Amino acid sequence: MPDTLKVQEKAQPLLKVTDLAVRFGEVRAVDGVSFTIAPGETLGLVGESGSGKSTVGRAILQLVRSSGGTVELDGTDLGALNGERLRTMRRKMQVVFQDPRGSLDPRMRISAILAEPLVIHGLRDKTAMADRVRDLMRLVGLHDDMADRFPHQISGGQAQRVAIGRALALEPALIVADEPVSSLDVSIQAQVMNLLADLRASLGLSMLFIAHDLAVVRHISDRIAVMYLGQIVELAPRDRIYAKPLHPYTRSLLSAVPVPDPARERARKRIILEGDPPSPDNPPPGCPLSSRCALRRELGDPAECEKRRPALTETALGHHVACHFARE
Amino acid sequence: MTDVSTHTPHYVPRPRTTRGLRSPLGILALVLVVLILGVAIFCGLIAPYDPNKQDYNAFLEGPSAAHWLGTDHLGRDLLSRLMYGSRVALMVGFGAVGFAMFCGVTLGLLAGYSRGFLDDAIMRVVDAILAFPSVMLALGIMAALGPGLSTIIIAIGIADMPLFARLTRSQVLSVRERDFVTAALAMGARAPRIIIRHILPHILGPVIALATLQVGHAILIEAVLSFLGLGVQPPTASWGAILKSGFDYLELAPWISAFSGLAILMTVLGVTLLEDALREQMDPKSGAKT
Amino acid sequence: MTVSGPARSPDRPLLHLDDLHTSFAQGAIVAVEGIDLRVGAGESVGLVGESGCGKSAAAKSILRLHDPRNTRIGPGRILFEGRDLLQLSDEGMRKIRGREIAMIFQDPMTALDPVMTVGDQIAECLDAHERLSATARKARILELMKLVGIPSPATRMRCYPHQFSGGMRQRIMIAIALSCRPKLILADEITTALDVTLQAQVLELIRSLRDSMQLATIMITHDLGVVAGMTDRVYVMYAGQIVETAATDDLFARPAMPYTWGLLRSAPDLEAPVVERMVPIEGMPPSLADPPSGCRFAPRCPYGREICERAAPPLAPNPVSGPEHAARCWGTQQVKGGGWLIGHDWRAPNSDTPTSGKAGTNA
Repeated sequence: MPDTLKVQEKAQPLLKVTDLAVRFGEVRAVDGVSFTIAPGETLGLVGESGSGKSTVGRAILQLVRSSGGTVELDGTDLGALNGERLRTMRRKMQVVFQDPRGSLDPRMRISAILAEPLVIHGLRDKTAMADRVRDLMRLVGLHDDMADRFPHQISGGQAQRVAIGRALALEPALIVADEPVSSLDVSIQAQVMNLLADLRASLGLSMLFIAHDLAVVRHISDRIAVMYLGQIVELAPRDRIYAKPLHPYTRSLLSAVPVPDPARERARKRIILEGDPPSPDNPPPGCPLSSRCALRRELGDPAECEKRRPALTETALGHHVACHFARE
Repeated sequence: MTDVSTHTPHYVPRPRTTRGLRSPLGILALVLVVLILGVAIFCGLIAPYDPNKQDYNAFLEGPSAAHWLGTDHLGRDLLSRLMYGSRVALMVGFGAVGFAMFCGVTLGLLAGYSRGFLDDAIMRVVDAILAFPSVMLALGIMAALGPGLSTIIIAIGIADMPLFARLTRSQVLSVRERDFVTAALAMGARAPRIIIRHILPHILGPVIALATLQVGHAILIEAVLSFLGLGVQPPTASWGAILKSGFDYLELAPWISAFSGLAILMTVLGVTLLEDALREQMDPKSGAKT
Repeated sequence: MTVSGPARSPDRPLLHLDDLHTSFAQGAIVAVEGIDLRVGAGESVGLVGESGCGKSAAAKSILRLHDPRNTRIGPGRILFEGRDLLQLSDEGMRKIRGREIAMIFQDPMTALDPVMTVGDQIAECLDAHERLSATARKARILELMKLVGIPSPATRMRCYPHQFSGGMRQRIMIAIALSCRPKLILADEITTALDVTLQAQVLELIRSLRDSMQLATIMITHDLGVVAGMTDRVYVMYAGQIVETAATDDLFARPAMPYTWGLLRSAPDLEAPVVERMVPIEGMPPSLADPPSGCRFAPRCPYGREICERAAPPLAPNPVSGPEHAARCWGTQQVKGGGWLIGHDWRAPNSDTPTSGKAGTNA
């Protein structure tokens, strides 16, 4: 943890997201999100469905239009770019989607899929291209003879390797990985996670790793941000958030993941969130969690929670939490 | 870095079935279409008579050894006229549909990909055209442009175009939401590349199926237009015109209308069945399911 | 293990799959190959495995839900309270579905009819099996909705599925499954499509219903965490076969064979220390159209020996635990050339040398 903090303070951030907001009509999908990612750092962005985590990823990639705030990559405000200049900036940030087969054009061979980013950005030399495709396949652990296959002829894990290879083709500085292993079997998940960890180490990549629970992001993230209803409710270095989660939502998220051990599983106390998350087109005026919060119930339903939206404030070195009452 | 096995886990080839072109109806469709195409291409060689040559000894004569399908009121050999008529039918069928497909797919791609103002503008025009029954519309255009083979093709093409535009647009709207299109966008691909490389190939299947179906429809409309006297002008042989001329002698020589009607029926049936078979054949179920 | 006539009464199972086979595509793909599975009355059994291992195919076979045109169920028997379900007519089977054995599906979004009110959907099973007056029918719907924790049921019963959230829809699915008071529930990956916090709610609900209604359940899942918290006994499936079975506590305490070890190692555990590299099972499951001739896990097994590729091991009792704990692995069986994994600590790094260059990397 101390290492991570040092890196983060010294270096200028690669990605700086400030007060980002995205609206779809009345729905506030993302509502005032700020964070930074340092060069070589991985930020885990965790949230359940409807939390806006994927929308944050897409807004950073300029695939959806933000309605407020800025996204700066390497000091350039991406929102101010358009046309050709945005197209060239896209080289620096790439994406890996959740559904590995869905993100590969079913009518293209693996080799053509891997070559596509090179073609788009103007590489014409056939031999150089073939060499690069072969290098990419090796890099992500795919056998050479898969080059001529179509996406439906390979497994989900292999398809995700292809998608990762394609994302790396342009040597980006930042990868947005949107639940890259959620649709894979656990035994295959570990293969792909190890691949990502290796690539991150060997290529010095920065990563925004989006996930729907706290189990997957744990091994790969330097810091973790937890989102609920369009807002970041807690942001802390990895080891801190698992050892000392402060926000009641983070706590219940942690307690909800079952543990593969019957004895411990029976002994565990679950903090079950009552009911469903409120609809993002009509969020509560105060704290987004106020209607379901276990801590608030414990404290005798203070009115504060419903009146004022808690700001994300630093409670300890690098540990930010948005709650009026959460304390260590 | 580890190496991934080359064998494929859940990919199982689809068991052979008698669907698509291999089904009995598919074979029938192929036979019919190939037969008609053959006749249209080779009618100069295989037709027993010049289609416009009159036999003054045989007016309205029934089927005989000399004239297999009989003759019309001017003593022209009906079989030869029907054979040459297939040229007109197919030229109109494929020409009009090709024209409709080209215009409709282009407009549909533009509308579906742009979504915004351009989409609204294109689709309002398309809906306006769609509001007219296609025969009426073609009739109107023919009346304005005057008769002739190329105007028939254009008229039927314009009348058919909205179907292609609508189908294309709806397909584009769903394909463009798929992750691989977003992935191409995130790579920095320009719009033309995304449309041509990633969207067009995925919508061609249903578009071609519609096109095959519309060929039969276009042949029918041509027959109707010729029947009404607005189509191909005499003496050029056209099935619709032959059908119409037979009407005047229905009691004396019913075979004229009967055989020309049969030619239209078989052609439309052939292409329609072919459409069915092709659609089954191109069903993109890959069999890769976990 | 087959018992003809009345079985031994104390542990005569509610459901007994006896050497059941299920194959697709004219027998080209054997999805379930000779599985033997028992569920006692009120017992909760887990069926675990990766996708494509045949666990869902087995569950669907019990209710005969596959497309009959390309599926063959059998040879084998599906004994429910001693009756072989495979001998029943379609009408006889219809009477079993919902009333004796009910199923809850993975995706509550697609398993509910979007154009039918949830009240009518909950009553559908009642309508199929019982004749109820309108008032009795409504009372039963309300009772079921209350039972699964849907607030204000009287108004909600007239709503359509899209007006409910994912968690509420899964509750409705559970209410449908419970409507005819079945003795056995097949729960097919019911929490996979849900967020973790909703998953916790739904599992809690199933647990309390099971205890209060004496329901037997088969939890079909790939999540060992769900198995650990929800089941009494576990069957682990791999490539169409059961490869290990034991009481849940026993399986987690003393897993016998390397596939189970692999599953346990790759299962995320939030309470374990952070490691930089996760431990995957290398390679991929084999194609069911052409499974390996010896042990089906051999191509991916880092502990394999020569015997593994030569002969297929039987499912035999594990000498370390009791007779209820069986594994399909030569390493656990005291035969010539086998038994090298008896007493092996699965947490220890693998000191065993693989048989060929294939193992250790991704097959």
